Amino acid sequence: MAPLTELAEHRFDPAILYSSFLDQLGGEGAVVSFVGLARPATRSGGSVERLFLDHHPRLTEKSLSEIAEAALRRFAVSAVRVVHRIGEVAPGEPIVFVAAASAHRRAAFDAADYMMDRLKTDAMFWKREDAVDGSRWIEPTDADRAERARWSD
Amino acid sequence: MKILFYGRLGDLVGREMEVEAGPCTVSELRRALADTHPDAAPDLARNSVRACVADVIVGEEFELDSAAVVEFFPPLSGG
Repeated sequence: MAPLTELAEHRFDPAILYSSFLDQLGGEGAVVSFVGLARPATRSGGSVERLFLDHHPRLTEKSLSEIAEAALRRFAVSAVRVVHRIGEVAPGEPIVFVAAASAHRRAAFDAADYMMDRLKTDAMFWKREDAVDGSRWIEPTDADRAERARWSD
Repeated sequence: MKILFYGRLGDLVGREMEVEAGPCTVSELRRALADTHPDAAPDLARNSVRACVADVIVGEEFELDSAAVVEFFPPLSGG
């Protein structure tokens, strides 16, 4: 059985991850998934050449596991999966895949939503956006922080 | 003492360095690094830049010996 969370050094295919996730289910009625993609433009409209995702050799994976395990405890979901890129990501490529399965849809929607909100602020990555007009290290936005606060434990 | 830098700090001063230092506290190490790497001094002074030893975030008064491996984390970007 696939681990709950995984770091991917190379481009992944969300369709394959989704299919694998479905294959290991046992009778759940609901599956929700989310894919985050590297946007081709910066906030100011410039063209992005690449995204670089810096990570910690041990603590990044640990931060993902903590989020996935928290989702399993908090929501009536039977299975979750998180796959996240590290290293260089080209515009348009998938960065993150999240999936959740439950007997009924509400828990799966909420678990996927929760995991993404937590990943956006708590996952241990440092992201650098390399654009034609320069590079910028990214910090969570006010919107990310507000979404995270929705789930305050 | 081996020092590892992540994110923006790694771009500023390099990912890894060996320094002759210790025993000292984290805050003393920060000041010493800011002296030798003035470009990184403003970042190193931010309390949002955290120090980590043996995979645990440590406070400014944490005592480091000369054999320590210290990692400095800038604020996370998140996923």
